[in-house]
Parts: sequence; structure tokens; C-alpha cells
Amino acid sequence: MTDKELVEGCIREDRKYQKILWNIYSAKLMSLCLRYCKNQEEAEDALMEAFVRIYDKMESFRYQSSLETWMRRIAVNISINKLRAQKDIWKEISESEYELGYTDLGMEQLEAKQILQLIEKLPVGYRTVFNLYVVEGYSHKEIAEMMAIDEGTSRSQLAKARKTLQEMLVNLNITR
Amino acid sequence: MSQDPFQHIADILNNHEVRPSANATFEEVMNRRKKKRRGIFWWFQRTGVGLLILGILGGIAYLNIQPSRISNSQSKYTQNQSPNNPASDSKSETSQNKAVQSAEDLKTNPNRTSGNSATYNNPQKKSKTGLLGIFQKFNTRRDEILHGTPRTLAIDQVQTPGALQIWSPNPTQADPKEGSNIYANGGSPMALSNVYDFGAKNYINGTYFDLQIQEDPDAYLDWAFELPQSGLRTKKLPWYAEFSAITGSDNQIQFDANENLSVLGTNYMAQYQLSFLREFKSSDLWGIGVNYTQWVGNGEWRKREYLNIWNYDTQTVAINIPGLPTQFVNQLDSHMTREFNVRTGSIKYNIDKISLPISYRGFARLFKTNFRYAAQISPGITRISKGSYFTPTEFMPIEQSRRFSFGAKVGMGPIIPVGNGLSIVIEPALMYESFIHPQKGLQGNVFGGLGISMMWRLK
Repeated sequence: MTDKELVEGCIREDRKYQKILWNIYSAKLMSLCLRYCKNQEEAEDALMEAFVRIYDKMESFRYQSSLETWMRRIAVNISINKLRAQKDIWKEISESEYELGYTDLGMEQLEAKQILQLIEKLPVGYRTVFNLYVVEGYSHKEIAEMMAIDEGTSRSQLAKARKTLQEMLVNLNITR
Repeated sequence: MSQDPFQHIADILNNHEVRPSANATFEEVMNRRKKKRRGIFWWFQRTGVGLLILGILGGIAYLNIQPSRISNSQSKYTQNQSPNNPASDSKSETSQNKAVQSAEDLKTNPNRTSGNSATYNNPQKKSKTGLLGIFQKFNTRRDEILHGTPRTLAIDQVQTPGALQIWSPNPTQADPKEGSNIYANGGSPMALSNVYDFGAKNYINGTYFDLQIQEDPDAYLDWAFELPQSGLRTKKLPWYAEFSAITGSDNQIQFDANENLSVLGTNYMAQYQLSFLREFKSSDLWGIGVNYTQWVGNGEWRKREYLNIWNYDTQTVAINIPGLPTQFVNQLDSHMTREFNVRTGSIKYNIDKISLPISYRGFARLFKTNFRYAAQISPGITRISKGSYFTPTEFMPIEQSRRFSFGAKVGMGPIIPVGNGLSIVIEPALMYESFIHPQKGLQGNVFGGLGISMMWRLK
């Protein structure tokens, strides 16, 4: 079944197509929500909220990107909205600290589950920027707009996230 | 090895899948959509009506069940704990034995009733009926829960060392010298640990947990240290500063047809007030302040006058008798006519006055909105008074300043919290302003108006 058929079925409010959409993408989006939310319950809440919005806004899908990308963007936005309610998630660091060199994190040896566990341990601010920048591919400018922060803050959070991850890897004796 | 470790992570995570649990299902998503589409109606249906029913049921339950339980339990558990009981003032072995015996009595004979007066001094207000009564009960109850069981209870209990050892899990911990001191009512310092013990246990005993405690004496030990943490008020009640501005009017738009002297016009008042209020139990605020009121009026008077006018009808009558010369006689006569005369004129006055209001503020929650109700009386003195003050049927000059005045205000409006301890209240109000006229006595107007108050919680 193509994306187009799925989209048109959902626009027609055909429950069969809606269910198929859920079956195909719920696990992927759940993984995404888990990376942003603080626990399973909040992630599931964000997931369901995202699907409600996806079904409601399906008519506005313009095929300018893949359906999955569009859905991921919605899920990210909803997860970010939940984060915005939290205060003081940004830990400021100095400019010099985030001008770190490009370091091999040694993460290619890790499985997804291990990576997820490491990322989960990051402070919320680091984790969010790391996810947005590294996994979702947003630029610092886009992240700054989404999170209502400075671009510099986004950069610093990412650098700090990398540094923290590296330290965690050292502790795990994985870094070569 | 990948050149870009980030890309590796992105690839892994983008393809990673986690199945949601049974709580997050397609059906649940569809239910959410339905609720969302029903929107405000669903919200009202579920929250509004549901809360209303719960509120009514809770109120009824509270009003009917809770007070009797509290009073029964308190009289049951506070026997021989009166401060007037001299036996309880000593820490002698006898009193300890009595205490132990009392404790056993409590465990074995919980239904025993006390002949002594209960020391539980719950500062409940006189109950009101209807919705207001429920709110008042709610406020009182909430205050007890948030700010602790009434402090008088704690004091009464602490004054009985014997009883202390009944309930303390470890009598040696109940050292008055340890822990923070709190000051309540009489201002005497008390060991916080003692109060914790007594406040918590009596609170528990007096309300919900009688049976559990009797069956398992250890069950309440944890509670004893948890509940009072939020239950005791160890700091002073807060003060608030309030600045309010209000304006109102009182209009007479028609002449009174039945009165010869009638005045129509508009009375306006504007009042600016600064008050300092202190919170008391049940979240009621009382305070004093100062206000400046400008009170002006302008209008038109009408005076209807009936004038009786005498018209003299003097005639000269010629009397002509043949053979005699004609004679003239002035015949005096008159008649009265009544004329209706209407006179009008403009009238105005201006009164400035300064008062010292004594204010009360209370809080209620209606339809999920917080409301503040306010009442105050404000004796004061007029500073400037000019012109002629008028009532619908008379007017009088008020050139003399420095007259005693009196004002009052009642109002109720929603509270809008702004943050940092600042709240704004939009307050429709009914106001009364008056002054003493040297000849006519008390003169005043009732104004309807709308005001705004800003209330800061002071540190």
C-alpha cells in the first residue's frame, strides 16, 4: 500500500486505513517520543496526541516530503511542546567548551538499545538538542526557533551532550 | 568504521522501533479524537457536571458525617488530657502509668466515651446554609489540611506529658529541647517532634484511620511523621498589600412628579485605596488602610410654585339721583387667582474625603473560578466640600469642610493570578458614601460600580 493510498484513506476517515497507518508507524514514533519524553507514560501520551493530530491534519499533507518525515515532525513538535512546560532544562556552558573537536565517540559499536540507554541518561536539554540535531537532522537555527532559545545555546547543548556521552562511553570502557 | 558517528546513531535510532504498551492503542487514539471533536461540550459534560455532582456529594458527606466523627473521636481520645488536670502536669511515674493505662484503654476499648470536655478546639465557623456554607466548610477543611490541624489541638496535647508517652513510638525522641520550636497562640515554644506526634495521630484518629491504628499499632508510625510536615504552620501568616481603584455612579433621571422640589442628576464617585491585609485562618483576610474618595454630583433642580395672586377689582360707581348731582362711589372688591410657576436651575457639588477603611476579604470557588468577596467600612472625614449637595427631593449647601463621613463597600469578583505573588481582582461592587450635614444630618448615596484591585503577597 502506498503512502498516497494511506493518506487518501485517512482523509476519507476510513478506519481501515487509519488502523494501517497506526500499525505501520506507531512503533517508530513511539521510539521517537521515548527519546524526548521523560518516561513511558508521557511518551505514550505524546504518541497518541501525535496520531490524533496526524489524522486531523492529514488533509494538509502536501507530499513535499515522505509521509514518515511529516509524521515524525508532528510527533517531535508534540514532544517538544511537552518539554516546554519544564523549566531550567538548559544548562549553560561557556563558548570555549562547545568548540570541541570532532571526536570519534565509538558509538558504532553500540546497539540501538545501548545508545538509547545512554541518551536517556543525558540531561533533558542535552538530550533534546542531541535528538533534534543528530537524529532528526534539524539545524541549530531550526532548533533555536523550535525551542525558543539562542542558536548558541543549541550549539552548547549539543557539544555538552557529546562530551557527556563520551564520558559515559569511557566509563563503559568502550572508547578506544 | 563510519566517518560520522552521528550519522550512525541517526540511522540506528531512526529505524529503531518500540511497540507502545497496551495503554496506547489505536482505539484509544480514536477515543481521543472523539473527545476532542466534542470539545467544550464534552469538557462541560465530564468536568463541569461531574465536578458539580462530586462537589455536592462531597459537601453533603462532609457536612453530615465528618463533624460527628471528629467530635466523637476527639472526645474519645483526649480524655484526661485537659490542661486543667493537675495529674498531667507532672512527669511522675504515676502519670506515666496512667498514660500507659489510657493507651491500653484506647486500644482495647475504643468506644469508651469521655466525661471530660474534649480539648479539640476546632475553630470551625458557625455553619452557614446553602452554597456559601459549603464553601465555607470547604475553606475551613482545606485550611486544616493545608495548614495543619488546628494549632490549639497541638498545644492542648503537648501540655499533657502523660499523653505524649502514650502516642510517641519512642518516648525518648519526644524531647522538647530537640527539633525546631514552633510558636502558636500563646507563643510558648514547643518541640516540633512532640507536635508532630500529637497533631498527626489525633488527626488520623479523629478522622479516618481509627480501625487501622487499633489493629496495627505500627501502622500509624509512618503517618505520624508524614502528615504533619504539611500540617503544621511554623511561620507567620502572610500579609498582603492591596491597591484598588473603583468608580461608581448613582443616577436620578426623572423629576419626581409628586414633589414640588425635585432634583435629577448624577452622582459619581471614584475611590483609590491602599490596604494592608493579614491572612487569618480559613484564608480570610482582615486589614486596614487609607482611601481617598472623590464624590461629585451635577444635576438640575425644579421647583414648582403655586402663587396666589390677589386681583383688586375696584370700581367707581356713579349714583345718579334725579334732582341731585351725580355722585361717585368707589366700590372696593378683589378676587384671588392661583398661578402655577415652575423654576429650574443647575446644581452641583464636590466632596473629597479621606477615610480609614477596615477591610475583610474572603475567597470562594464557583464554577471552577476563584472569586474574592470583599466588605469594608471606612470612617473618615471630608477634606473639601463645595456647592450644593442634592437628594431627589432637596438640596443643601455644603460649603463647610471637615465633616465626619462614613463609607461602606461590598463586592465580589474573579481573581486573576498574575505571578510573583500578584493577583488582580475585577470587582463589581456596591458602595455607600455619606457625610454628616450640620442641619440635615446624615446624607449619602448608594453607588453601583466596578473596580480593580491588585493584591501583592508580602514577604
